[in-house]
Amino acid sequence: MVGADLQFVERFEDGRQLLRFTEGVLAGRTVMAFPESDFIYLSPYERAERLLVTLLNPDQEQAWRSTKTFRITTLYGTVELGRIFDIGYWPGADVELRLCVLPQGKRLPEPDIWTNLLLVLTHDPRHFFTVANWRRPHGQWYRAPVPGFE
Amino acid sequence: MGIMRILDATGDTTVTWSVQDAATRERAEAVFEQMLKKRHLAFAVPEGGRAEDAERVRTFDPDAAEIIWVRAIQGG
Repeated sequence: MVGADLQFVERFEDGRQLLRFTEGVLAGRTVMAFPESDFIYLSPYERAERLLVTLLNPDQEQAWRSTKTFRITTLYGTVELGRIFDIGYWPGADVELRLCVLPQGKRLPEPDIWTNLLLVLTHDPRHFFTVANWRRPHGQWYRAPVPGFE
Repeated sequence: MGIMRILDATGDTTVTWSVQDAATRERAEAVFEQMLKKRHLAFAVPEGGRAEDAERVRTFDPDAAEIIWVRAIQGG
């Protein structure tokens, strides 16, 4: 027993504890107790960035920390995420396009946008290029799909 | 202990569950079904995993360590 009406259920490596009420109207319900150190206010940007960084490999994380951009190699070439409305895409040697792709719906904190695009691009790159609007460097914008993904 | 992260304006909203706790597990499964109906995309990430380790999932797995919900994408 943790207290008069709380029973210890499970402790996690990060310090959280799962507790169950044993008495009163909440009897049988569980509650997650967080360590006091977890109560640090994070802005939406900081919270989103924390999540993004967990998904990056060491090279990508280093690039993100220094330039706020990172690259992903796909079957169809390299993509650089980090600039909204100006995503770099190198489908082959000496070929560069700029892309614009966004998550649908209400605006997300910027690192969430990159988390969203990172996961979709990594696991369904063809779809990414099928919906991306594109332009050549210094050229005008064209509607999706990117050439070669019609 | 599993955690779902739903990307939103706050960064993300989390839903946690314990395999041993039916109430939290059922609540998480209900949230999963709601998100599917909204046509959001779920990726299960193993503990300590990177984006390339994630797997697109379409059913709730209570043994998953982390599920990240992202949105469908469109040209901007």
